[in-house]
Amino acid sequence: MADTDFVLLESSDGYTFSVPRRIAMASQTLRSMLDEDSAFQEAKDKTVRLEYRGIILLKVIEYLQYKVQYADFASSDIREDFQDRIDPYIALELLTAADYLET
Amino acid sequence: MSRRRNGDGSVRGPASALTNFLASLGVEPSALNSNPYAPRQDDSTPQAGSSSGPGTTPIPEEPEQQDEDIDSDDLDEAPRRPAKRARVASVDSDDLDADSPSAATASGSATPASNGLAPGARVRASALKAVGEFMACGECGKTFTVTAYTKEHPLRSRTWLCVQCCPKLGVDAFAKPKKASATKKPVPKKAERGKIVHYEETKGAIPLGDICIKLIGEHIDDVESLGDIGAFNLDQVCQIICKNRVLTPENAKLFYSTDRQDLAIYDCTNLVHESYLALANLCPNLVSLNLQMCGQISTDTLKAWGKSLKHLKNLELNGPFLIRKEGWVDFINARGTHLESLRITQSPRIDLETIELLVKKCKNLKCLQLSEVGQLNSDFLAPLSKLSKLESLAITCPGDKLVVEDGDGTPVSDEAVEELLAKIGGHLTSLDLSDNRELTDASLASIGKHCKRLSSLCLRHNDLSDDGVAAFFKGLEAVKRPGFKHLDFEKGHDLSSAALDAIVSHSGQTLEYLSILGWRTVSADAVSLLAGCKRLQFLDLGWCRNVTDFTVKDVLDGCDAIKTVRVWGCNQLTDRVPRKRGVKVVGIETHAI
Repeated sequence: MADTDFVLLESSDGYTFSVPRRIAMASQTLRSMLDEDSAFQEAKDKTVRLEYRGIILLKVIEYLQYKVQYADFASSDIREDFQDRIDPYIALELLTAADYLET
Repeated sequence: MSRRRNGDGSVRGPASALTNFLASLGVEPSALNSNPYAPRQDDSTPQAGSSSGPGTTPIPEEPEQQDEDIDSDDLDEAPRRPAKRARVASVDSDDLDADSPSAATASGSATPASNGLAPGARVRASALKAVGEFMACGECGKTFTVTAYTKEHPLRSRTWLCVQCCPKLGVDAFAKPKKASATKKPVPKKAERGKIVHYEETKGAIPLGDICIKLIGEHIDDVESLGDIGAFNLDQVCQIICKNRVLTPENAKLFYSTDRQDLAIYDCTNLVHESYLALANLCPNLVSLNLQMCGQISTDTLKAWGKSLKHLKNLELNGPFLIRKEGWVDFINARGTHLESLRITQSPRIDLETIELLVKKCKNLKCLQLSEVGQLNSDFLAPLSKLSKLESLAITCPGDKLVVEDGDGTPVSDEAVEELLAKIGGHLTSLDLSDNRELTDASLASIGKHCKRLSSLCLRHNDLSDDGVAAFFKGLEAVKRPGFKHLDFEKGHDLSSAALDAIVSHSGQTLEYLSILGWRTVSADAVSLLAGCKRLQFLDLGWCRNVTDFTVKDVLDGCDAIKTVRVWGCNQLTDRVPRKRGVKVVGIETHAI
């Protein structure tokens, strides 16, 4: 799984995000969808269409990157608080997306 | 001293495997460690007498220990291994004093005081014996009986005084006995005690969902800033927050608004009386209210709701066990006439009087559910027969049989059900009598006779027989009764193929929901017949042990509308269970392993 392996995430309003597979795999839902052993169309096309707006998806991807970056850190050692990066205005929508994607 | 006493009461425990093994090789335990438990006469040895004889000063501890070692060695009859020696000796020393009544007395009292010393001076220092045994007084040398009050000689340590000698030496003979001080564990220092050790270390970033919920909590007072995501999504948010079990009085405000008519909160564990008052004040237009796990709802809450929720028609509460009878009475008095649906699960305080009031006030009640109501018994059903508008009735899982009998009522019986259904059965479209263990096939007959409009029937875990259920559905078919949409016969352990055949032939064309969980003996062929149920959407085949991949294939192929099949505990299914687009087959064992 090299860093050259990218997958596409599509938002409901037409934005497309090219994301390293390593980052996308941090979400359990995306991991199942993109599992190469499964017979899903998503895995074949390496493209996942999600029913969330681009602005939400962008923030989710940003979080996934943050999650991967700190995967090996003890929680108490993480100084950078992701909460500061979220606009309260999208919090509710982001919550539903986070729940769906099992981030 | 305490060591000695402990040693006294020793009991030989079970032999270890090692002991058994050694025994088989001819090594007897007596050769090794039977001594600790054997009676000792060591004090009568010459060393003991000579060492204590001239000493007027207290004899130090250390030499005595050595004495004991020597003593015990001498006394042991069986040969001993050198390696074991030290240990055995030290164990023995515990017992040394207990069984030597003769020694000290002999050296003390029997020998005349001839060398000018006090008579007690010749008494050998020793630990205090058990209460009731004899010792020589450390002052006068006379023999006395040890009691709990026996005091130590103030000058010669480890010798003991009789009652007569105590006043002479200024010792209070009857002062409260000191308890043998147990060896105290070293108390850790304060700083160490206060330190909390976390054994669990969380790794990685906090889940995004948690971050969002926290953020929402922080901005809860400025709801505008959170944006509008619509009522449907708001309910979804509520579900997510409840799923994470983090709904608090603060963030619950998110779901309150004046234009709300329906409100469902799925985990109210953390909500307190004040939050429920806030709910009523901020959502005055509620028509339907559904609160799950609302354990902290109180009598006063319900009283307040009676006044403030002017439009409430449907109420569902799960777990309001703190509400006392007055609460229910007040609420029913206030809102009773408007109530259309009342669903209550787990309320131990609802009694017959409450039910009678409910029947009197709630004339418009269409849906009534009383689940896990502790006091519920057969007598409760009689008043219910006056609820003429009732369409949906659920009387499930009444209190424990023992409790019910204690309250001089009988569990819900076939006769009571017959009487009730004879009066209101004709209107009912939905009936749930699950978990009434006394109900038998006789109730089925009542249902068949009276409930002519029934489309949903739930009879989980009742005492039904295969033939009885089969006869019930055949009887319905014979009189051309319309089929059921919703059938739930979960945990019908005695039900089997005959019952399922009859169900399919009567309700096959109308059935949408069927649960036959726990019909362990039902045959695969009978289940395959379900393929004829064209409208079936949900099927639970849990713990039907004969179900195979082919059975599932038949169901998936035949049932056009099927959406969910649950197969927990069907252990014959393999990875090769067929799939169908849009159908969830849940609970295949091999998937979990």
